[in-house]
Amino acid sequence: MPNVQEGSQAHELQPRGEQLKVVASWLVVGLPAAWGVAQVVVKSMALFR
Amino acid sequence: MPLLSFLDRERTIAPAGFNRWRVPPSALAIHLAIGQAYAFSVFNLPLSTLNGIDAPAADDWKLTTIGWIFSVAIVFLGLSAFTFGRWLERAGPRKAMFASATCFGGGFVVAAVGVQLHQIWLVYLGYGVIGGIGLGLGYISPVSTLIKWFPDRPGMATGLAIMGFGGGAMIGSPLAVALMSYFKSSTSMGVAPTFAVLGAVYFLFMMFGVITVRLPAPGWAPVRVPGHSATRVAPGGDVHVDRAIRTPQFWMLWVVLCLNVTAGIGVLGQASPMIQEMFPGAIDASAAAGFVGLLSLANMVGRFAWSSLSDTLGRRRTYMIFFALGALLYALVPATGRIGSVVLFVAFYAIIMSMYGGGFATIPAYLRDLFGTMHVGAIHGRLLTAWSLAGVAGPVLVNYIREYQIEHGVPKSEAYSVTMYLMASLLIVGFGANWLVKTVSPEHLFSRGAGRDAVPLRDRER
Repeated sequence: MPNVQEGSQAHELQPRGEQLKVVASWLVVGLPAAWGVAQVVVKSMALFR
Repeated sequence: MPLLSFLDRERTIAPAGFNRWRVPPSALAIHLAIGQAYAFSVFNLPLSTLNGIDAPAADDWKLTTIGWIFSVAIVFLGLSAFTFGRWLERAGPRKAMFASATCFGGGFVVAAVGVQLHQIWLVYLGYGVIGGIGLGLGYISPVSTLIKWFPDRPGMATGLAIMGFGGGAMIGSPLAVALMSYFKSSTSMGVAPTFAVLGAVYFLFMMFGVITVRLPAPGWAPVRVPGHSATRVAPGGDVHVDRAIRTPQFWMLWVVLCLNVTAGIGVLGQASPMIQEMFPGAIDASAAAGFVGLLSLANMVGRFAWSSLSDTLGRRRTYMIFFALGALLYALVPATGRIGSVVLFVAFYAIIMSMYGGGFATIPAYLRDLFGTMHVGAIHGRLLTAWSLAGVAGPVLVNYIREYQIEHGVPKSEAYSVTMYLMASLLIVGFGANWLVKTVSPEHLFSRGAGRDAVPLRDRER
């Protein structure tokens, strides 16, 4: 019997805390990554000036 | 000790109700950190003027001496991935990721002491040897974990993690520049405190991955979501790592990875001078830096996009595209210089770099399709020796051929043409190697359905 759920139907079965942990985990790594990508995008604009 | 038991494999088994989408961020925390290695070149100039500050002094390190720091790190990445791959499978991802964080962060601190004392051997030992071991352990441990969590989408899962390695330089480079600028004074370049701070920051960031990583419980399987088809390529069974490296499939994939990386890495290192020399007057240093940034972005995006696409297309077909399209684009690049089209040149290289990154990210899923999940981390570790060779061969080929051409009177704007045709030829050879990859013979399969503690029959009899 699988012990992990995913997808829209499965999310309804998961506790809200678990979903918040998913969001928080992605924010921890996503924010620095987004900052780094933004730096590169700004730098790349020089190519098209 | 409580801390050590927390790192045990048994303590990483996910409880019921655990959402598997919490695992990719754990992997990304490791890969985004160790991907800093690609940004090490930002330290080259400051390290060459530690004593002279404004200009190199007589006793300052030469750039050639400094260049070895990165090379030693990459060599130890390959060696540690090769050596510790089997240990990782036994010890579990948390212990391996903790060892990686300790080595990578600790390596920075040792290197900081080396810079402060102006002892290059300490920097080689710190960032190169100790940090390099952290790189190798950190590279392979989250990958095999994600493959176990996403048996229905292994390409997408490994693409997520390895995308972090491509993107790590995007964080590492501006962060290092900002820290050096903060610590710089009239008597110091600020490199030693920057190393020390980076060591601490990266250790803490990687610890997030250590604490949050989980393995699926034995027998776990993902719930099928209606409308989503599972990957077209299912593994035929598990192959022991010692057996896997004796199969032609392993060595064909070794050639595939080596040639794909060789074709990309040499050009990546020369991107800035290349675009300036191929389009003299049209591209200045600032625009060239933008081009390098764009290639990094394409490299990062390609890791996720191509490996995710491979779940639908199949791994073999995806590599066919890498090699066929890559060869075609490399062959056409000199023509973009002749007609003076910067847009086409940039577009072609962005696609080439996306496939270079895609090659790195898709290979673990390819290994999983052929050899199963049991030892995929260890097999991946051994395959990464192809990267070590390509990391040396690619830049040497590009630099040597360019120098040879210029010495023989070829204008700088055309000095890269032969290199491009050579890269296209290498990719055609890679196409052939990939063509020869077939399903692993059942004789190599290892007790189908056995648990992780299973050992080959010949070992069990000892």
